[in-house]
Formats: sequence, structure tokens, C-alpha cells
Amino acid sequence: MELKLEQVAGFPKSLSEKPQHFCPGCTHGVNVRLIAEAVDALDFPKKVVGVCGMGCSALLPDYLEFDMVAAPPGLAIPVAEGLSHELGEKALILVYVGEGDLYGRGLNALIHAAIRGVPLTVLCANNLNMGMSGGHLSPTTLLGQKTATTPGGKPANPYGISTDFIRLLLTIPGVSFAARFRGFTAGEIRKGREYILRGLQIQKFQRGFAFVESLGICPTNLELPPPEAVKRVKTATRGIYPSGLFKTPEVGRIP
Amino acid sequence: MDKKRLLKGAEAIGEAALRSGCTRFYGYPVPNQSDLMEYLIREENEGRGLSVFQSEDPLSGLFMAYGATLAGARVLTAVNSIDIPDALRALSYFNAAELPLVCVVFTQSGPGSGNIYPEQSDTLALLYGARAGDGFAPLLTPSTPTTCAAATYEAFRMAETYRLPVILLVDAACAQLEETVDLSAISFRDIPKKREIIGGQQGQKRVSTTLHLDIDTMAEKKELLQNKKALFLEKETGTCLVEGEGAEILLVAYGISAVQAKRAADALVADQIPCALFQPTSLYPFPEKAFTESLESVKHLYVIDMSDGQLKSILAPYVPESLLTHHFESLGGSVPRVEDLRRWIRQTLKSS
Repeated sequence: MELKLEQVAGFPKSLSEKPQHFCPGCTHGVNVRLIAEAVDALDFPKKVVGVCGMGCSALLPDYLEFDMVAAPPGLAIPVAEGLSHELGEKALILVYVGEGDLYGRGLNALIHAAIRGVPLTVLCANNLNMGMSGGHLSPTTLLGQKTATTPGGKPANPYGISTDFIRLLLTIPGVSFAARFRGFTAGEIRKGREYILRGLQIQKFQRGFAFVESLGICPTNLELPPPEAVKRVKTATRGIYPSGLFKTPEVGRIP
Repeated sequence: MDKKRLLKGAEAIGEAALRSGCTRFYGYPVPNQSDLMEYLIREENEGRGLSVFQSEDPLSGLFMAYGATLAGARVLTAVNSIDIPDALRALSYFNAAELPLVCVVFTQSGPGSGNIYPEQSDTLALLYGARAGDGFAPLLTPSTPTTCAAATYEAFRMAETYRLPVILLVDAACAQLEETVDLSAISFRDIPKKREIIGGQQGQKRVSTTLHLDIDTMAEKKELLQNKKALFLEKETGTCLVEGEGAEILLVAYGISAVQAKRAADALVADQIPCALFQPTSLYPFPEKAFTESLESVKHLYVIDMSDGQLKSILAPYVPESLLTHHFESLGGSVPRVEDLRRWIRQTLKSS
């Protein structure tokens, strides 16, 4: 009997073969792979330029096979916006930043870029803490979550209640695409690739600010084995950071 | 394009930038900087091939400039005294990424919010601040609209030749001073055009990062920057304007205080007191040789400055201890008055 072989998956062209520095079980590795697969799946020829922020995302230039700029902390969006001013329709600009960087010191720039509807596709890696700095409190840290700067668990006073930043962005007309996926369950990882791809595809005709958040785990700083970390984050974020598609250029806000 | 134009200092910078091939301007409305931005917007609307963008804050503007420069733009940006820390942060990154930038710093009175009137009290902050991480940035100090235009061209030439950030230090009075500027006197040539950019050719991967986690890689990077600095200091020796020779009295000033010092010197010469004026138009690199030469016959050195001794400390390494040095400071936002300078110099001469 003749065996018919068909290749159903392969190593993404846009992913470098260099070993990654991410800790075991970290969702950054998943995000990087999804970015590479989404870029490979683009059906129009356009130069892709990536911009990454500080922290665990700062070494992305080593892992992705297209033009990359490593931006200073809090300033990935302005750098991407400057690139967008100069490159215009010639390039598709993808920004990958952690939530500590993007929602913390970079929030002002994020909101203003969203208001201006800058044609950027932003992927935010939200792992509930500032990972590379050593597991400190981040803008999305959950109430009661232990971090290096809140060893007794994050208190509501003075740090406030956890806020969904996508809901904040959804109030801005310049945002044309918004979605969130959990980077730690198989079904949602598939969706994540779809979201990133759609976020990139709307830039074919520069249709505005596209935002995708990947909710992830940081087993190292949660001090849990990855499966435990997944369970913990899954339960603790329920209702606080919902996943799904929230806005598209075709439909607008999805109720 | 007219050769002669009546321009403010801030506008002369804009006009010279346009003629130096500047393609983008990033700014945020603050005193003096706004005059430059408004001038450039008028010229943009005339279709002169420059885009102006008002950022949400100075820091964002500086890093939009970073992104645009990476993609090939020739960028001018400007900040005010109070935003110098932001500018220094950006300069450090431009230094590390070896990118050209011309950053105008309009100085006013400080510390804190101070007032909008001129002072020269940020000079050392810029001179030393630009050296963070062993970086460096030429510091040019024009004094009139004409020298502003010349310095702007010089700044672009240096920025593009050596791929580094250049600071144009302009005090609030110099920014507002108006005169007829003859732009045909400036060549606007010899500014290199080509460099590698991000987002260029398809199929080639280009990376720009200033993060080098490996010690050896970082050490190599530092060596490259050190070599560049050495080359720069070998080729560029600083610029200055010297008036009068062989006098026993030498006045030293830059920026708006140099304009006043010049008028005081003219008045003293009319009073039969021969004196010379040394005006550094760049503080980094400092025109060391020219300054040492101009000190040869000098018995009285008059340092005229609008800060608490900052120019004096810049000059100190080159001034022999035996030389009688007088320091005139004008603080709080007032420009030294010619009559005060004249009286002060006459009095100190009499008492010594």
C-alpha cells in the first residue's frame, strides 16, 4: 500500500531557529510563535516591521525573521508611530509589549495612539506581573496576588482594583480592532493566531489601531509549576479579563 | 526662495533646517519651541516637503523622532528647559543606536517651572547630561538669527556625518531676537544622505537594538562609540567668533549675553579702552586652541554669563590661575544690560 504524505504544519518562516530565553511554561514563547505564524499567513506582500518593548519581550529581534526595533521602556508605541509616519503604507507595523511596559509607563502613548487611530497592530502580553524585572506589581496584577513588591498580596488600597484595559480602549473611536485570548489553552491559542492575523490584515489598507491582548502565565514569578499556574490564572482572572473578540472594523463593537 | 529674510532666531532655525533637507519635525507646545513649530507648519502648508507633528508630550515626540529616523527621516526636534531630562533620555538612545538628530533646547529661567525669560543655567546639565553612558552630543551655541541658521546647518552636517544627536542651545532671548538673515551665505551642502534604514528592502532583516545583555558585545559596542568620539574630536575642533586682537581685556560670552558683550565691547573701544571678545559658538567640542591663543596678551578676563558660574567652570581648565578673572552674572531672566557691563568693567579696571 502506498503511503500518501501531506505536510500539515511546519516551522514558521518568520521564526528564527535561535533558542529562546523564556522560562519553561511561559506564554511568551507561544506569543512569538503565533506572531510568526500570523505573519507567514499574510496574503499580501508588505514589509513587516516589528517593535518590541522592554522586559521579557526585549529579545524578540533575535527570534523573529523580519525588521525589528527594540524600544526603550514605555516608548514602543511612540517609536512605532514614528516608523509609521515615515514608512506609511510601505510597511506593516507590529508592536509586541508586556503589560507592565504598555499599561504602566506607556499608557499615555498607548491611549493617544489609539485616539489618533495610528495604523499599528499591537499585541500586549499580559502576564499579571512585571516578569523580567523580578515579578513586581504590574497594572494588571490581581487583587491579593503576591508579587515581589506586594509580598502579602496586592491590596486594594493603595493599588486599586484590577482594571480591564481593553474596556478602556473600547471607548476610543480610533480603535478599529480589539480582542483578547488566553495564551495557555489550546482552543484559545488557535483563536489567538486568528486575532493576530486579523489585526495584521486590517493594515492592508491602513484601517487604524488594532489591539490584541494575550493573557498569559508567568510560572516562575507565580512560583507554581506551569499546569498549576494555568489553573490558578484561569480561575482568578474569570470575569476580570474576559477573552473574545470585542471590536472589528466591519461590525464595530461586538456586544 | 528669498536669500534675505527677516526672521526670529527660532524661525531662522526652521528655515535653515528646511534648507538642510530636514523632512520631519516633532514638537510639543512650550515657549519658544512653539515659534519654531508654527513657522514650520506655515512652510509645510506651502508644500516645502516637511511634516510637522505635535505629540501628546515631549517624551513621545522625541521617540517618534527616533522611530522616524530609523526609517530614514531627517528629523528636527525641540524642547524647552523643563523637558531637558526627556531630551537627555532620547539623546542617550540616539547615541546608542547611532542615529542622527538635531535637538534644539530653548532655555529659560529655572529651576522648576521658573519663568519664560532667558537664562543660561542649563548648559552644564546638557554638557554633562549628554555624556550619560559615555555618550556624547555636540553642543552648539548660536547667539543671533544669522548664527542660529548657520548652527542649524552645522548641526545637520555633524548629525548625518557622524550619526549622532546634536544639541542646539538657544536661550529665550536669542529665539525671539529678530534680524535680516542672509541665507545665501550658508552652503547647505556636504550633508550625507545615505544610511541603512528599518523597513527598507524586502527580504533583508535589519535590527535596531540598544540592549546588549552580553558583556563582551556591550564592550565592543562601547569601543566603537569611543572610536567614533575620538574621530569626531579629531575632525571637529569647535567654532568661535573672535573680535579684536592683542587687547589686555577679553570678554567671553555666548548666546544672548554675547550680543550684549559685543555692544559693551564696542562702547568700551569708543571710550578708548581696547578690548576683545571671544564668543564660543560651540561648547562641545570647545574651541580650546582658539581660546588659549586669544588669552595670550590678556590681563583681565571678563566672563559674562546668565547663570551661577557655569560658563566660568567650562573655561576654568584653560585659564591660567594667575589671570585675573571677573564674573558677571545675570539671573532670574534678565539679559545683561550694556550700560551695566560697561560700568562694571570700568569699575573693576579702576579698582585693580
